[in-house]
Amino acid sequence: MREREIRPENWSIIFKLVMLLYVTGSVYVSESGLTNWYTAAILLYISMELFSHIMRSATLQRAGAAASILFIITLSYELNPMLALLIPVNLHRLAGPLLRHPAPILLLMMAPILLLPKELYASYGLTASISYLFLTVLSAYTDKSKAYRSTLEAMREEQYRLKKQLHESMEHRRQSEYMFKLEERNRLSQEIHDRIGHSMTGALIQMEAAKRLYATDAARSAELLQNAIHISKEGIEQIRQVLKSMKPLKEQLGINRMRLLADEFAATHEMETQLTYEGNLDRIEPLHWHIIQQNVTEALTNTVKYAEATAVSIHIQVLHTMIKASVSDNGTGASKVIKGLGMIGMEERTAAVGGKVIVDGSKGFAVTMLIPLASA
Amino acid sequence: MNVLQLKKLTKKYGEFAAVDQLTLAVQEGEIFGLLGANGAGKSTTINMIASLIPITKGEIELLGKNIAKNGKFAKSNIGIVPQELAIYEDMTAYENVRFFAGLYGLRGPELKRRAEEALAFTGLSDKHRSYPRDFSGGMKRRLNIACAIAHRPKLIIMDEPTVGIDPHSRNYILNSVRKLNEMGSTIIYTSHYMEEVEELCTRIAILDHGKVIAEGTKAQLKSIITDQKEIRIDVRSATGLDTRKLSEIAGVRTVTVNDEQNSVSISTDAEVNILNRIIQGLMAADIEIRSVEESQPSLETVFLTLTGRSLRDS
Repeated sequence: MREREIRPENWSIIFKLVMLLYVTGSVYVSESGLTNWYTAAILLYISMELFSHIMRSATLQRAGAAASILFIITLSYELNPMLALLIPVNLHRLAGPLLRHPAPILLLMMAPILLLPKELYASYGLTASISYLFLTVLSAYTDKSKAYRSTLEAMREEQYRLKKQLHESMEHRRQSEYMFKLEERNRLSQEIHDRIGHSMTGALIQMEAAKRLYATDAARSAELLQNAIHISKEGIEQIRQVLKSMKPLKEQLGINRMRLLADEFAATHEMETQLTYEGNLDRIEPLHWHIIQQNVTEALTNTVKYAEATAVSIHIQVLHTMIKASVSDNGTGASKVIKGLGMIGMEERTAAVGGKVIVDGSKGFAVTMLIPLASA
Repeated sequence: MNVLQLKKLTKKYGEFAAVDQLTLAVQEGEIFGLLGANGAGKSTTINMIASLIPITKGEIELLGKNIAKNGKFAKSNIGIVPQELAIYEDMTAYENVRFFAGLYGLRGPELKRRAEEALAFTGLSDKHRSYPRDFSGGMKRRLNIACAIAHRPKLIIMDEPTVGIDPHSRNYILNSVRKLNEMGSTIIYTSHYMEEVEELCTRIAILDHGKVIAEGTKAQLKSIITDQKEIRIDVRSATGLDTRKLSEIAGVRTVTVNDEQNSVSISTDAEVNILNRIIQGLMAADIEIRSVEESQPSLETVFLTLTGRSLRDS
């Protein structure tokens, strides 16, 4: 948490308080001294001031300031002329926001001097100038810091937006890479599939020839037939092999891939890694596997980076209408989790298929994905 | 119609999101349950709906109006029963209700009438002039409710209204929630007691770490876990039972006979109720039934399975 700074408005309240103390002090040491009337008047004045500071609407605030001025003027006539020293501060408050130029404000603040007895000229002039200087500097500072703050806010928003955009495009790139691979594989297997046609054709020609020679040259015919059989056998076997290695295997995306991931992780990071699952894994679609895998990888990376854990477990559970996949470690955890880009990435990937990610740092660290199943 | 709609509602404390892009709609006439462990964001959400704390991001709409721009409208249409008792011990029960109803915007003879009605509704009419300091915990809770409903809000939010009270008051409160609902108020109800939520609420959202992780009717939530239920029937002797007959009943999936324990286990579709027909089938086969036990996942199981934690241990 940032430390709270004193707001400019509060500085002006402090300034007013100092002025009030000064005036009261002067009255106290003067011949008239503090009368009951004086005390009552000052308390009333303070409440009026507080009222106008508490009000939110600018009109009410201004009305409050105007009322304060009238009140102070009355008091300085009726009770003690020293109270007139409080006028400039209130004038500035009333007129400051309306008059943009400093000069007329100064004139306005000086004007009441004409109504005062001569012996107060000096102190009034002095307080008015000090008030003027202090409040002008203060309001300039307020304007500036407001402007800075709003620029800062805008920049922060912009930075967040850019970060997010960058992240999204990275995500998009990764997704399209994957899609491209899938398409490529499909295309290849298609092509090979087409070649079955060629070798079949080769065999067919041999067989046709064998058929023609069947009556006249039985030995030659048998030879051709044997050839055809050979070609077909070999061709089919070859194609089967190629098809197998080219087509994206279901297991490559599925639990076997996950097992591989876990094994690799355990081998490279000396962390006890456990993979468990329950329910019918066949109901998990390739896209879901893909997302789960990426998120698990991300979560494992986080574990290595932050958790100081010695064991991590991956659990995949197929419920009736949802898949639940979680990665949890026995590390330090965190009472309040602050999301980084990795976490936002997980959330976005999961949200793309209507899922949620929950992160819990109360017992070690646990990332849980809940993904709705399409065919429920 | 949506009485309340939360749109990507977010509350951040520094960088930490206590409520994280929460989207939720509560329809008219519902008793909507909010389930979640401590710190899941229930109270933060409620406090934002009540305009007690500022929203970081997102919107709250009450009857289609943004509450940030319609403060007065929101105030007169929402009644909040807070978790911590909000009553004055040195004012009489009646004065308490009058005071709060006044805050919600009621005036004059209407205020008087409504305050009396609210006291009557919560069964505190005879305690009219008594001071809450002499009340039992349950009576204080009821007064707390009376204070929130006197202005007849469209939406009543009850944050754990049955914590730490006697069973009698608890039943009274549960019944009054139902009655309020029948009288036309939509209700949002949070509780630690899963059974209460299960019994009372028409729709439920499970909150965890500031997010809604599942939402729906009880049946929908349970069906997340499984679509079947188990019926276990203990019999005197299971020999001679023709399981095919039982399997033919629509909705039955598997029938297993355990000869050693003299019991029959049947799993059926969760949404059908065919216990009668199963029992008839057994009786027709002249098998003597000792006990019948039906088990279906409880909301507690759903919560535990989805979040990995029990509702009460955090």
